Amino acid sequence: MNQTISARQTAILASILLFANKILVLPSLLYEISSADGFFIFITLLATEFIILFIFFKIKTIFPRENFYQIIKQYFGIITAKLFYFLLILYFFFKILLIFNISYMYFHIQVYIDAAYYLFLFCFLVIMTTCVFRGIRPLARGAEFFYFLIISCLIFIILLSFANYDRFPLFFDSNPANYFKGVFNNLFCFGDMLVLFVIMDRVQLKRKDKTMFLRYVFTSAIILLLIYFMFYSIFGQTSFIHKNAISDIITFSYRFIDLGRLDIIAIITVMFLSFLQLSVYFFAFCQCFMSLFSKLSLTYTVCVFDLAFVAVVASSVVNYLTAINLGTTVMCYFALVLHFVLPILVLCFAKFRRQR
Amino acid sequence: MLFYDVESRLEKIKQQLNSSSDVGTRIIQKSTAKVGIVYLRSMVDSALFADGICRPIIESQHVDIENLSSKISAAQITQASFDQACEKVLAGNVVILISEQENILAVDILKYPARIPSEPPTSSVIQGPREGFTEDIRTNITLIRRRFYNKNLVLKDLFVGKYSHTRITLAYLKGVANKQVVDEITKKLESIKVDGIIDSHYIIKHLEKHPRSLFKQVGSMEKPDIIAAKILEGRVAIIVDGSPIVLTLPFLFFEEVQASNDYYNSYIYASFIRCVRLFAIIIAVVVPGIYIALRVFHQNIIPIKFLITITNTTKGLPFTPFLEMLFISLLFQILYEVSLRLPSYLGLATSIVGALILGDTGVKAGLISPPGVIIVALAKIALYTVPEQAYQLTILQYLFLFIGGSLGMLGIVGLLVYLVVYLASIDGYGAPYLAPYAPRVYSDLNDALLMQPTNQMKFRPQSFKNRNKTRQK
Repeated sequence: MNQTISARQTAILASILLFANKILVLPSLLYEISSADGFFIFITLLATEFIILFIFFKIKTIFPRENFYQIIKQYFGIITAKLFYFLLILYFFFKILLIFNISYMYFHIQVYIDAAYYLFLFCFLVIMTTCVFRGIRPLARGAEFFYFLIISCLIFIILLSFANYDRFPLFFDSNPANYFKGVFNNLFCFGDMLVLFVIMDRVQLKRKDKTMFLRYVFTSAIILLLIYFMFYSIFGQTSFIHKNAISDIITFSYRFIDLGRLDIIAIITVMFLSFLQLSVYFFAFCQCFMSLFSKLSLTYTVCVFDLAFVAVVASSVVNYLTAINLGTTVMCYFALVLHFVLPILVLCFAKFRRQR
Repeated sequence: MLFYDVESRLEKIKQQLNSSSDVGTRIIQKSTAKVGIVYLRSMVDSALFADGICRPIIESQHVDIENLSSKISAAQITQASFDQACEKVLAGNVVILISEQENILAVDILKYPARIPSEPPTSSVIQGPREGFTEDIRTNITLIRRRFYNKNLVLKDLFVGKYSHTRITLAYLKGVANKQVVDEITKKLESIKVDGIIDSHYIIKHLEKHPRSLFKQVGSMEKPDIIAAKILEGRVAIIVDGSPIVLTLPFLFFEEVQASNDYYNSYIYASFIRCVRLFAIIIAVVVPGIYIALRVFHQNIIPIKFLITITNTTKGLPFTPFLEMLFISLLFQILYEVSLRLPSYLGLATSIVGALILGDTGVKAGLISPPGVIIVALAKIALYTVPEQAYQLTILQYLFLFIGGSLGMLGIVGLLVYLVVYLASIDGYGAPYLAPYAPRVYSDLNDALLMQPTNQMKFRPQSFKNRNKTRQK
């Protein structure tokens, strides 16, 4: 069943995906690379999300109902289309692995001290699988349902945390080379708007919806900026120690210390975000897989993913450290090609053909 | 002519009715013709039968169909062919046969024991209409019809059930209700092939798009004022003979949070009480699960003073936290079932046994802990803020209890996400189940969780298809 989703639901999905990988370990990683200039790395990379979004709008205007796979096939031939989609499959698979591992480590440290790795694997895999079987429309409606709750909780966390502006580290303290290195190495943690290309034939987007769309994505971007600003303000020179940004900014605020562990709000918000993000990425994975192997059913695709995921996670081929390591090395090249090269090429060819 | 002989035709009808003991026959010999009467003694008004039917026949000079039709003033009279005689008798008509006349006369004087409309126990109100539906479909139709002095209220009859041949009436407003929805419901009802329909609940599963789902997908009400309001919104009401529950379609999840009382009170209070209901649903479903999750997995997030209280009260319990909660929940469930089935005079005894002996002694004996009892009691009481959903919520409560005990908070949040995604996938008769929140239908938010004054509700609900958007100008 080819379910369609409204522009608002798509904007909410994009808005929720924007938080993926960014509110836990990334702020400290960016500080490690370029100290306080990590904030600029973040802003630069956040801008790339808007570039991808802008390209998506352009392509969607030219091809309002077409599938992205068909568009690539039309311009570059079937082999190139299959190659790109193969890369996308790997990209989404690794994205899921990265989000899973980061979330696992976060929950393990915060609330599941004695729990086994398999508990997380079971929880995430079952919910992702069942949600994907329901389809993109229920998933988008689910995201729409929880959106207000998630955004309210994130704003509440920002309001609760105590910004100490005196401790804000100095900007431009680091070597400019570190800035460029940081931007390149962390490309993979961004580019969440890429999912929109994969589901573009299911999105009902009109010209007038773009402002509304941007409003949702901007809201998420501003919340992210505030979280990063708070994080660097609170922890200053020690930012690199704090690997769970969203929780730590509340835990280390002494304003509400008597109220107990308020970071439970952050933990529950991240739980909701993780389930929704993983399900959407899993859906994108399935879409790519089924486009590549058009004769395979969704059940088969899901089984392939589940088996591969369990095998990779259970054999510890990719764990928390290796996932972050791979994400900041090999996957950057994937990200570069898939975030920019592919969409820009498609856009240029489409414009060129249209002019002819 | 022998073919139109009264005796033989009466005998034929009796045979068709298997000579049931309640079949009454009578032959009145007139100078010009013989008149045969056949009816079910259990289904007709005997006083009306004697005065309104027999007396005019005896007193009339010329006995023919036209003459009798004008003489009998008892009730609705229809002419029918002899083939329909048996069917008419079963429907509570008195069938009159006249010798040498092919057609028959059917006089509707149906009467059976029926209670008068009274306030339904499941939806009592402080202010507002107190009448409720009864088991008599004619009374129920009257209760709806008298709220619409308008030709556009359409009542459409269907008969379902191989043996019961139950009358089902669809009620909707022409020009407001969506025709596609009406047609779809009609088609669904016509396709039901069952032995009998005893109550409206028998057809619910046939009408649901996801019959295996735990969640209710068809609205059910006992109050005519609510049904009238639903019809005005563009919904279709389904009235089943023999049932005081009238069904409505399309149905949305958030209808369960609304109550008729809301519309008879201040909109601010109504909004507040709706939020309380939703909060109570959340408490009822997830609190036992969260309590277990905190005790088993996340002791480090329980505030220290509360943790000390829990530790002191649960010290030495023979059960694991999960088994303890399961035990208390099942105990409550057993008491609930007992109280439903026991005669009311034993209710007090059940309460004493349940609350004092089992609860208090259980705590003193060290089998269950006071926090566990409080949590279960809170959750079970909260269930009944939406009594129509109590059964579904009970199942969810056990599900969350199990998930909380085995997977902790992550499992609970995961299950919540899945439940919402699952509910969002239900689309019954063009109405997304979680509307107006997912998908967001802005115009319907004025009568969702928060309510606007009724004079501000300019439009009919847009969460499902309507033919006429404007409710008031």
